[in-house]
Amino acid sequence: MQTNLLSKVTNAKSSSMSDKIDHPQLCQWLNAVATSRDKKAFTQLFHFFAPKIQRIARNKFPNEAQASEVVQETMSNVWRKAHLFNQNKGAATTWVYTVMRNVTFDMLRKIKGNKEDNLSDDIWPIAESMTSEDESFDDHLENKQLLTVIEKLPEVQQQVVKGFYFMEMSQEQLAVHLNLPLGTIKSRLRLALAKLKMQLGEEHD
Amino acid sequence: MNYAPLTLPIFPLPVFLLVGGITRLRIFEPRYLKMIKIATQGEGFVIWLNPQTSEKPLIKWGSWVEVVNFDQGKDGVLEIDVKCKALVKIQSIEKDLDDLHFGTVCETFHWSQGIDGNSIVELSDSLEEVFVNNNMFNELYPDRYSQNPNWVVARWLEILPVNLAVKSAFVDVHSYDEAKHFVQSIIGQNKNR
Repeated sequence: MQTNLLSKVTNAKSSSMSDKIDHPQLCQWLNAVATSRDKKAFTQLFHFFAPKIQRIARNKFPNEAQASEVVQETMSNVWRKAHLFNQNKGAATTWVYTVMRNVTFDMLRKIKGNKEDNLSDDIWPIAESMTSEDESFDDHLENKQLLTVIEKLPEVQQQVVKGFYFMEMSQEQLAVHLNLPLGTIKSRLRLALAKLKMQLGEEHD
Repeated sequence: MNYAPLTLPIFPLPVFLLVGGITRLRIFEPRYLKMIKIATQGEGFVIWLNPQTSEKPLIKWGSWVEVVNFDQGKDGVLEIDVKCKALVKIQSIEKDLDDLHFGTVCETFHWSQGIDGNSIVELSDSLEEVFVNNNMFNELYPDRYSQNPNWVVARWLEILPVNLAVKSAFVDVHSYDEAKHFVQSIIGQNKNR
């Protein structure tokens, strides 16, 4: 099944398990996707990760289609959320597999909703199974550490990203600054936008 | 206002910057390192707020910036501070062999480089507070023109958490009043002074 899978998904990197991972390169691609929506870089990331994700997902789901869905979902999240990746917090592989983990969780939750008895506890945590499955998932982070880091990731990274690229306040920051409830800020923004739309009329649509 | 067209490197980036606005960028891609080299030897570059979801370039304007400071981040990545000196109309864009964009651009006048007569104390004070309480802003803006209403409205527009497409509406040369009212409707009348 494994061989079949590999040849089906891609002909690349079937030997990648023993290859060394070029971490700086992966970081650069992710950053290129984040900052300049670089499609070539994303293609490279796809070639690198898709077969690996497919292989792992195939062990978690009963059929090929669902495994492919994990690949699709994960990679489109990588495209959309690349700006949240922070190489100071861990390897690119760790980050992408975290995205994959979340996607898989979501899918499993959906399935569970449909079919209660389909799952057992041995499915998770994926972090452990990944390290045993494929040495390429080996990382400079311990599993335990990995989980704490993951939990902290989005917020901290968002701050860094915003600070560097957008210089934009979050709604929460604005609420704190103006000493107003977040709900008030949100409704003010909504109102302001509605008013603006009226002022500008149709021409700016 | 008539300006001669220029050819400048173009950096597609989701950053909204009006005249006088400063932001810090991290540069690591080879083509953009090359761009910085060109920019520092020449006349800067243009930040182009390219809509990421769309293939077609809908936005025909950009922020013409010059590098005002640079440093190396903890991770060794080049960090540059750029300041917008004018808005430009982008007439055409081409790519070179390194996939770096170059555009034929024309400088245009924008309200963010003018001075409006009426002061807006509340927005000025409020902005000053944001800047004082934020290390990054303090570092980036050694000189602040909090008494110039246009400068204040422009900075508020940049930092407000509003969709970039909405912000783009205020690129129109005559949109100062709309911009001011927009910012006021979000920020104004908050302080119980």
